[in-house]
Amino acid sequence: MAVIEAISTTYLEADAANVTFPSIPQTYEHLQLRYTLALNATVNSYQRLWLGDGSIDTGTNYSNHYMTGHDSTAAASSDTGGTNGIYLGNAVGEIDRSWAAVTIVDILDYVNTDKNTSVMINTWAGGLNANADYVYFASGLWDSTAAVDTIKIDNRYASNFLRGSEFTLYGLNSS
Amino acid sequence: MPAFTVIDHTEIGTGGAAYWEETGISSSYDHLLIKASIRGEKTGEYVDSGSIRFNGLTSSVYSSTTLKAKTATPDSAREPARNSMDYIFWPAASALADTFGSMTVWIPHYANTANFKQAIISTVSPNNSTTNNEWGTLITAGLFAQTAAISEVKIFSGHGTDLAEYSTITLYGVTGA
Repeated sequence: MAVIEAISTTYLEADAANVTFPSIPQTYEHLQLRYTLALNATVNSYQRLWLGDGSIDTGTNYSNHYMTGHDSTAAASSDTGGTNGIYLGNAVGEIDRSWAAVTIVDILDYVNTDKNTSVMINTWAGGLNANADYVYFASGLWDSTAAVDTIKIDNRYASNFLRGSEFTLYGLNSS
Repeated sequence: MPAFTVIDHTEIGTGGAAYWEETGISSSYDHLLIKASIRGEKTGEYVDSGSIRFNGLTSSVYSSTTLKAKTATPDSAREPARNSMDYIFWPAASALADTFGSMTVWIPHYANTANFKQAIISTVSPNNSTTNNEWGTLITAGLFAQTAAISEVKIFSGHGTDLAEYSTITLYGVTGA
């Protein structure tokens, strides 16, 4: 058994509003989500992670804490109890597909029912001009001890992931 | 040979533990990787102050540079010549119950005896609070100013308090071609 196994990859053959990984095996220790994406928006949008056990929790059970670099400004912020899930950072709203943003999300101990689910997020979106660049490091908390078996990624604002965006979910074993 | 090998996986048991430690690490890998879901038992604090030490050395051979946020204003700091890599974030006893931090530690070329070693540490201390200093995000570049191969890794709270029950630490060996 390999330590790291690809559970599923979604390559978008057409623009899509969201990507879902249902029925995630409960046999790994950790999950890692990796994706590159571009948007058809003309403004920045941020991506959202939703978790669930059987069905996606779209409630207010999420908290976010993050620090960012954007253009020449470093910042940090937080929120809790909002309605936008876990923030995954910004993919820049550019039509040029070569500016795809990259995100890595660690979801540790996702089946441990003694713990709320915490995630750690890195997002990088380099751009050629102001408002088209972003680095993001964050934590996300799902205030639930349920095992995670469903993951959904979508956009805060009405924009699609462009064709060619690619998402892979990995499982990490611990033995 | 697989690229990743599990060297150790530990879940902290009932009552907590003062530290996690792996000794006798083989030099046969190229890199070490730690994934930890971790919480501390320091009372009166929301964010613990974790530490990492190598080879049992307690002399001033550790230096760290961090980029971090616990408020709306991120900042950086340097901690030179310490006896461990310090000030690593994970939730402490006052944070939301059942909430654990996530930490990744890369130690590239840990067995290289020509050069000092770097540890790349990313860690978050989540909570259901937006109050300053009740949450944290942190990226650290840690220098271990020793040419000896790393054969021991220890993770502990700088407060001297326990790691909480259900904390998990997984140590991987990563092999190149």
